Amino acid sequence: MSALLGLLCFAVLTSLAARRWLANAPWTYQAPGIAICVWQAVTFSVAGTLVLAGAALVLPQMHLSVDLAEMFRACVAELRHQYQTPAGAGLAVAGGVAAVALAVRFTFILSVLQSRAWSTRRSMRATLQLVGTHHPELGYVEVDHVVPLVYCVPGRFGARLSHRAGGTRGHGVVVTRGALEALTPSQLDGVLAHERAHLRARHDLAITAARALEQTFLGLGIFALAAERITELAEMQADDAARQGQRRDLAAALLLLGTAGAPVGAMGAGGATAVARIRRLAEPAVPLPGPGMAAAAGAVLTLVIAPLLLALVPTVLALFLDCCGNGTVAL
Amino acid sequence: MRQLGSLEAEVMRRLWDARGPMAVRDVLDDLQRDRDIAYTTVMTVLDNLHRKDLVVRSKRGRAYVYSPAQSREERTAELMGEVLTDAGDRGVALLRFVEQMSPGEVAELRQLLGELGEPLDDIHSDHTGGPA
Repeated sequence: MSALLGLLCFAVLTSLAARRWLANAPWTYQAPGIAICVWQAVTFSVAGTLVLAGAALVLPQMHLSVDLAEMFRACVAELRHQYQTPAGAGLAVAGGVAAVALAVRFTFILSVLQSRAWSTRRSMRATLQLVGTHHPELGYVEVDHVVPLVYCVPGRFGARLSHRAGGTRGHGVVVTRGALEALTPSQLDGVLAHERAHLRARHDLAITAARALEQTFLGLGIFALAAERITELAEMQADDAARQGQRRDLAAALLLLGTAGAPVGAMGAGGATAVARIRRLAEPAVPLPGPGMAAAAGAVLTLVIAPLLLALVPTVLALFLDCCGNGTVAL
Repeated sequence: MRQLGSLEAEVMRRLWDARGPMAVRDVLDDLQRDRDIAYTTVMTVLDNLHRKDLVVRSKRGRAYVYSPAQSREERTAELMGEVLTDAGDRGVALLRFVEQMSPGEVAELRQLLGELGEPLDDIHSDHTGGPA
């Protein structure tokens, strides 16, 4: 029981702490890459904690089977005490089923999202091969269309295919004629650096994983918040690929391309992200100081280790204090 | 759509650049200006493109003539439509450089950048605001 309570408390506290100190923290804009890592640690830690909480309900039952062995009798009694659950076996089954169901659900959603993305990308690459003009030396594919638009199609697969088709690296970046006409050469440089940074960092994977977690734990706001933040921070991290002197060019490009196209469908959070990015680019980059980095690394480590400790400590305590101490110590 | 071989893409481009429907022989002559290629290869490629619904064919005399099922412009517009409606911030298939901003957001930015004295307001005003 103590393990379950500890884990649930940890999940709640971590979510609250992330909302309080991570969601709107100015430092995340200074070091978006590190902030993405911390968000990933938060989400996987909370998700892992919830799965472990389900597993913790099963643990006493698992140890009951050891009861057959004479030498573990005292140990089991203590474990049963440590992991005492209100409704016993029924709850243990429910916990186990919930833990497995969560893990399966996440895996399923992740693979659906990823395979859907793959098939969309495959079809888009096929079309690009037909209607695009490949400029290997410039590192992008030009599409003859008036709407100014720049985007990238992530994936190693595509790089290989475009290579086979006679191209070289950089074929994941698509620029329309409209965008080429709207941007100055220096602005275009900044935009291309941004897109290549996305492809290099595999931001698509980070975003897909965050969305899969969001859909797995529908109703838990922390996962939706994390997915939204990670998406925004990925844009900012890619913006930082532009050279220091290019930041204003990139801001200008954002303003140009963010207002020039025809908005399609509902206006998402994308516009707000664009505003935040332009604000950020209007000022010089301030890297996160050393202590800040260390604190972030510490947070990631804690988030990963704490759930495991919380899940295991009651068992370990029981084993060492009671079994190994001949059951004389009762804590 | 399935991934196309580079030769299929090449033949597709020739068909688009052509004035009218092309017979296998026409495509072959066109291609042979740039490379050495066999009649049967071209025939197979056109057959593949037809199977993939990328070209339509009709009889002219005893031979088939081929023309693109969709114009290049239609295909491009379709692609751009897919990109724009890839649910922007929800989709994970591709990453767009920037989402569209609302007029309110643009006004807010202009004000901010004006205060900072940033030289961003020399952007042509005809690029701002709603649908093009």
